[in-house]
Amino acid sequence: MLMRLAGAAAVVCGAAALGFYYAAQEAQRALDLLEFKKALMVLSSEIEYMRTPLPVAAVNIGKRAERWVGPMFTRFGELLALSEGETAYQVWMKVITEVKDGTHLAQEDWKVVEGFGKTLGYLDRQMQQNAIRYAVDYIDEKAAGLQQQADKNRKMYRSLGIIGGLLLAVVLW
Amino acid sequence: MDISVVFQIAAVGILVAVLNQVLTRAGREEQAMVTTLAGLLVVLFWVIQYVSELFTEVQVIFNL
Repeated sequence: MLMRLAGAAAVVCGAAALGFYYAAQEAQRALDLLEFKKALMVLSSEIEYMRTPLPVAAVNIGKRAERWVGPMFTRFGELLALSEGETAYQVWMKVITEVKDGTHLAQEDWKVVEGFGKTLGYLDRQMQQNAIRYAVDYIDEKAAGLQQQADKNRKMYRSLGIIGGLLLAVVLW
Repeated sequence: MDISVVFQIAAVGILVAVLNQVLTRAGREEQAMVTTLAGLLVVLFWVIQYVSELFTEVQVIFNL
């Protein structure tokens, strides 16, 4: 009986933990997107007011940004400074394949990130700002929707975990 | 008949009802439906042997 109770408790705890884990994961995509937006804003001001060359600007952003964006921009800046005969877009794509696994972004987000890479390094200042604004607009729109959805789903995942665990414990009893 | 199965069925009923509410509130009516169906199937699986016993008893009593 005691063994059984312990097993049931373990099942409930495990399922509840899974629920809480999913609840915590829910907002990660929005946070990842917003961090990229922050980096883009910094890049925008680096281009607009400081006229920093792209490799230096990327390293500067890498120092300031957090989550996946920091390491990505640092790596991008370093590779760009070392690259010979490669376009910024090629370097950008190389860095993206390196960091892709460690993030919570969805495929559609990556398309925008990759698309933004295409505009790097050969447009004039004004066009570059427009490209940044386009990416930022996408992020704003997506992140707002995601936050709203996350708030709703977070509660659901938590209760789903706990109740699902209880149900499983009863069924297995 | 083991009485504990009655309590188990009651517990499953309550939990499935709550799960149904949670999923419906989150706008996932389809999953809520599937959960209810799954609960029903589990309970049916438990009681099917008792139902079959009942039928045999009836057959024996009335000499059918």
